[in-house]
Amino acid sequence: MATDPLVADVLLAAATAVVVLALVLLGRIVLGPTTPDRVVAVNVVGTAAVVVIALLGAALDEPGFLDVALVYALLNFLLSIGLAKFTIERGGVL
Amino acid sequence: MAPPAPLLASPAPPSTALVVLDGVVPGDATAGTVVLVALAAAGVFFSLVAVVGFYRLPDVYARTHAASKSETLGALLALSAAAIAFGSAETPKLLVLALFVLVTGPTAAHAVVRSAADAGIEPWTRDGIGADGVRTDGGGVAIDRDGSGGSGGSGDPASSGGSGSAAADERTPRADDPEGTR
Repeated sequence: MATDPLVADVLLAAATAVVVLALVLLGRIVLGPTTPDRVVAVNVVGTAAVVVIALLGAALDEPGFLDVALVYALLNFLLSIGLAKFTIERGGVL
Repeated sequence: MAPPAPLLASPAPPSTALVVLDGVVPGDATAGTVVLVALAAAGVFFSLVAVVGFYRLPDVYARTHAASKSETLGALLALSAAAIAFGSAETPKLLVLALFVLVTGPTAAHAVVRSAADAGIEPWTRDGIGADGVRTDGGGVAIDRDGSGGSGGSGDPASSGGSGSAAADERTPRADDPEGTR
């Protein structure tokens, strides 16, 4: 359905808020004491990016954005698993 | 007789939220819009909870606890709002996306935390002293009340988690069968 202006404004406001929260979370990436702190923070920022892409797709009525969000979620998961397996020497994390 | 305005012709008496929304945009404030606004606001709220937890909780384990649950719930609520806005045409794709976020968020957090535990990062304790008597490096507040070495129970004399291999050798049940940890 065509997105009406109020719904589009609400979705854009929510996307803006999530972007601001992700920018705030960059501080944890900078000053996180350990590497897993930074990895988890990057993972959360990636999840926020997925949410922002989906919300923008809904607000702008672009269904193609959902494919981008899906691929971004896959890459985000791969990033976290890869860094977790990079930290550990042997055994497994999954 | 002229037909009445569409807002007045609604059979059910509108709730207060509908009245407020009708004041903003006349004519198209359905119940779906109200649910969408509530879902988007709840999604932003839980993302805010995750960010607050990231700054106020003391170590990586507590921070991941905040991230993997609050952020996942916030993302699911925001994706539900997007699904309502898209309509039924894009609902399966958003359902797949929400299911993927639901599965992979806590899985990735679990993997990162497990690698952190294997790398020898001590969990935060209230008195700032870990199980080996060394001050935890979680960046939390160190109260240092009376210098009692072992903080309650499990006196595992592990070395301080400087290098990952030395700490991994101290953890005997995991070092005995590395394959059993899968």
